[in-house]
Amino acid sequence: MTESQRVEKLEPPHGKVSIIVDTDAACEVDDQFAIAYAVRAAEAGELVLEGLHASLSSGEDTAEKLERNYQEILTVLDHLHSPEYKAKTFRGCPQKLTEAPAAMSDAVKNLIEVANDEAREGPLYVVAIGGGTNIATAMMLAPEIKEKIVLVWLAGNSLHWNSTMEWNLHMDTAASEYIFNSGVPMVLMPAWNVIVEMRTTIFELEHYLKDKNDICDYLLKIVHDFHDKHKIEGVVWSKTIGDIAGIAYVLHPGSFETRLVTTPVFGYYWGSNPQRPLMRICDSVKRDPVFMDLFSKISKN
Amino acid sequence: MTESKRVEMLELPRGPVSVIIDTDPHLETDDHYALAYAICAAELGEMKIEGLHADFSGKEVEEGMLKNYDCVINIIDLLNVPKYKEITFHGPTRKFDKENPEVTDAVKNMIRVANNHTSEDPVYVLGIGGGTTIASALAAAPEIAEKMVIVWLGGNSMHWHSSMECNFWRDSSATEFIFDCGVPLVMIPAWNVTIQLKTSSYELDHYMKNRVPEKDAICEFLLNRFNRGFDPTKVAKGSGTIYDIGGIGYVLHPEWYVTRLMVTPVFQYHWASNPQRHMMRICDHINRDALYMDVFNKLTK
Repeated sequence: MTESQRVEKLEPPHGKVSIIVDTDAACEVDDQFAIAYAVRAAEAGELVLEGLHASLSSGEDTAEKLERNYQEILTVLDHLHSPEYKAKTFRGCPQKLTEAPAAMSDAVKNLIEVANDEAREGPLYVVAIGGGTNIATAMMLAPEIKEKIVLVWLAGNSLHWNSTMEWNLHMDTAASEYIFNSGVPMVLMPAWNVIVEMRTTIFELEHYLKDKNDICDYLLKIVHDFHDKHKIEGVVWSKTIGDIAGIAYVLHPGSFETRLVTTPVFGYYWGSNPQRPLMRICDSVKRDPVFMDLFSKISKN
Repeated sequence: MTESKRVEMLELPRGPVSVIIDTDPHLETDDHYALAYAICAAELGEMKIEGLHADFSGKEVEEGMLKNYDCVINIIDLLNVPKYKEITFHGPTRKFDKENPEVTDAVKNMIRVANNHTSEDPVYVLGIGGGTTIASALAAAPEIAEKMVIVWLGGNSMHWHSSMECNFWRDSSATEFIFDCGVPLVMIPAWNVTIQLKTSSYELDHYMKNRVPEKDAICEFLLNRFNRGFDPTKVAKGSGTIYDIGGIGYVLHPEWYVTRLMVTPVFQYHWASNPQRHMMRICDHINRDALYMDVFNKLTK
């Protein structure tokens, strides 16, 4: 891929694009919002949802975590009453690339097939809101897809931050290193101090989602449960629903402040090598229009 | 001033410290919250306020300044703490002129107060408006640079596409002077830092509903100000940013702020770099929940 081809792919998405969402759905409460947002956007004809891929999460048994994440996607689809997307829901790789060589999984197979589908116009946007295992594996097994996808990854921290330490980026460091060295067109949405500020509160969520429908009830419930588990009585608490930003980027790129930068070298600290390929990085998100679009899409009956 | 003395003065404040607040509430909502928060903190002995200075805003300098002054008096009345009127002072009637700085009541007070302090025990000037009074005081009495620390909310982070922000650009020659003169400066940028001090009507209503009777008047005023904005006929509930509380919280709880020392940039439309300049402190992030909790506690108890 030439630099100009890469930069062209990194132009903000326009029109109705195709996406795959790669998610560690059960590990927090924001993935579920993102899944619901993506499905409703697809049903509204604003994007084409080509896959919901479960990725593993860290823990003693990553295969068991993968299964939980897969089941959680199905649970969200149940609450959405959108069972047709179950056929597009796939299990990803059960082991990290730090622990096992690249191996095919249902999600990887779907990613390769969809990416290689010549009927599609424009790139496939892979919106990754978990670790990088499935995506890196797919590129290792089918390197040609690098030229056919744009990776939108919620991972790491801003380049001026004190470290790259963040859950998704460090979930599978071999995958992260591969992705950052692969040259795949990548839009990086850093946690600090960007996505972490996609905050809402119980009070705002209740205002917009209470007594609306099944999926809103479910989303409110998981936030309440999360709050009950972590709260300290009387403490002001806001919740980051960061993962919706990945979906919002392909729907409303105008709500994102982004720029091209030289792809940094992945490590505990971002390393700099000015001769590397360009990528796009996000500096800020206009949270109000993004949350408004989310609330309006998921609260409709 | 030696670099070591400047860096020493830029160490995190160890309270309770003395402060002067320079503010432009008339066309804003957030200054009102910040003033009320600061006065409540002072009443609890967490800081000592030695001046409340009215900056200008809007097109007419003197008229805007007088309106800002009235807003400060209003907050003092709502909190029923008349003694603060004695330290409320009028600021500029014209923009900054380095050769002929205007010696307003606010400038006189800043010089007087600073001269009662030392580099070991500096007065913190909390700038939540433009730089006219601060620059005028420093131009009229350069020796005070060693007796005060400026904590200024304004501009944007160094990686931002411009420094364009209203506090820094309202009187840009004042800003240029402050960035050049070597006074210890803690910069708290708007994008992408204080812009994240987001709340919503729903959260404010929740936390400010239950309050002691003495705080009824101030809480009602502040809630109305947030919900109605500038137009009392319109109720526009929703999300908003209360930037200016970020300037007060720094001297009360610097542990809530992610900051670092850096070489002071050259102030212009695009930040410029000269590696031989003096050091300043810049803020990268504020713990929003902790700060809001302190604000709610102080405004309601």
